[in-house]
Amino acid sequence: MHFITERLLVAKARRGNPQAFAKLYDAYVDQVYRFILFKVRRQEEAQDVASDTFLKVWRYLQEGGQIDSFKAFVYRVARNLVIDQYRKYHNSATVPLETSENLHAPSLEEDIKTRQELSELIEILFDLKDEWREIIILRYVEGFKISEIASILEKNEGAIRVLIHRAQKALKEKHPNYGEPERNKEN
Amino acid sequence: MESLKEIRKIKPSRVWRENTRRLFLPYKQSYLGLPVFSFTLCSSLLFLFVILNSSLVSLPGEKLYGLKKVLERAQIGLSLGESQKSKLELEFVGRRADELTQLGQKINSAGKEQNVFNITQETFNTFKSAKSQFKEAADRVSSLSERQKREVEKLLTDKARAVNNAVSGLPNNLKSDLVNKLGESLDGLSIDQNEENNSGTTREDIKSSPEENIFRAPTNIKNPHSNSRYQQ
Repeated sequence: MHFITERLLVAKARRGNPQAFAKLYDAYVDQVYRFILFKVRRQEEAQDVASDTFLKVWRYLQEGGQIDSFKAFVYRVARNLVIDQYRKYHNSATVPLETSENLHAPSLEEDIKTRQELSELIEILFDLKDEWREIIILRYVEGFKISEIASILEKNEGAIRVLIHRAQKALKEKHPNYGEPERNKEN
Repeated sequence: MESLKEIRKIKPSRVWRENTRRLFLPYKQSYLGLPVFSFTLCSSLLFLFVILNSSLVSLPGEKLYGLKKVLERAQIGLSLGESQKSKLELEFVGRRADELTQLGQKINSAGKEQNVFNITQETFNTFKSAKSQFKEAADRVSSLSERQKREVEKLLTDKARAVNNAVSGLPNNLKSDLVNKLGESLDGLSIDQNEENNSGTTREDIKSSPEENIFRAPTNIKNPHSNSRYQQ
């Protein structure tokens, strides 16, 4: 979503327009859900946390709260909610892909193939510690810019670059097939 | 690293998405952003408006004509006072006159015999309807105040003229059929088979003593055979 569109929608949502907030919800719900899913590892918990996240953001806007970047803000809220319930989910070992409706494959064969590929990727990601996994998802799955990740994680951009580098290195050590580290690219 | 983007295929269930949406958007939004109920109501009202308008211009034999007659009866039923009822009946007589004119035009341009037969039947029925409505209006005249009587009587004259004009535009055989089969004249004013042979005909009656003529209308209509020039 373009940042101007986002700002307009946030302004409308602050004035109590639920349709505007619904558009923001539609734009970000999938990626926020995925982000949470890879933290909590269970589909039901991910759904609960994601619902709580958007509800919390909506209420915040209703109370007149100011938001610079909706995307960064909603991720921060999601992250904080997961941390609040960290002990509850920490020892869970369930693989998140549980139901077939989560995948949008065009055919059964594609569905099976996609599941196999995704299972591998999920195992790879869960092999990493939380901090690396989080940064890999934000950077390489969702495609966020360094500045956006810095805003979400509330760190400076330099620290984010270091984290990215370390996460890539850890990934490559465990799974050499997964690409070369990138060098100082914003996008 | 590019292959990690495959993870984007993981999405939440649609049911959960919708349920979460309802937390801050309690009613379902239509495509236009209006509440579904309001949108449905507006669409229904618009549809009803179009149907009602279409029915007002429909002719006998058309699908919406029945609705037109129902609406007219409803208007009469809802009207207050005899004067208003008479005026409405006469307005509808005017409509019958318009319909007769249009039916006459249809007959003149009709190609198939069957088509002409159907239109002829419809013309008969319309004329009968006009007579009935005219009679209803005329019957009420005696119960009205003097001022109201004068208003209604003027309308009686106008509408009788309108129907007679419409009938005069019909093909001659149909015109004579109307008079012969239906027998009675409209409002005590005779319907001319042949306009050139006028003597004490409709239009002259109106010109000479319209009020006197119309004032006698209720009596004339109640005893049509005593006054009609075209008895069977």
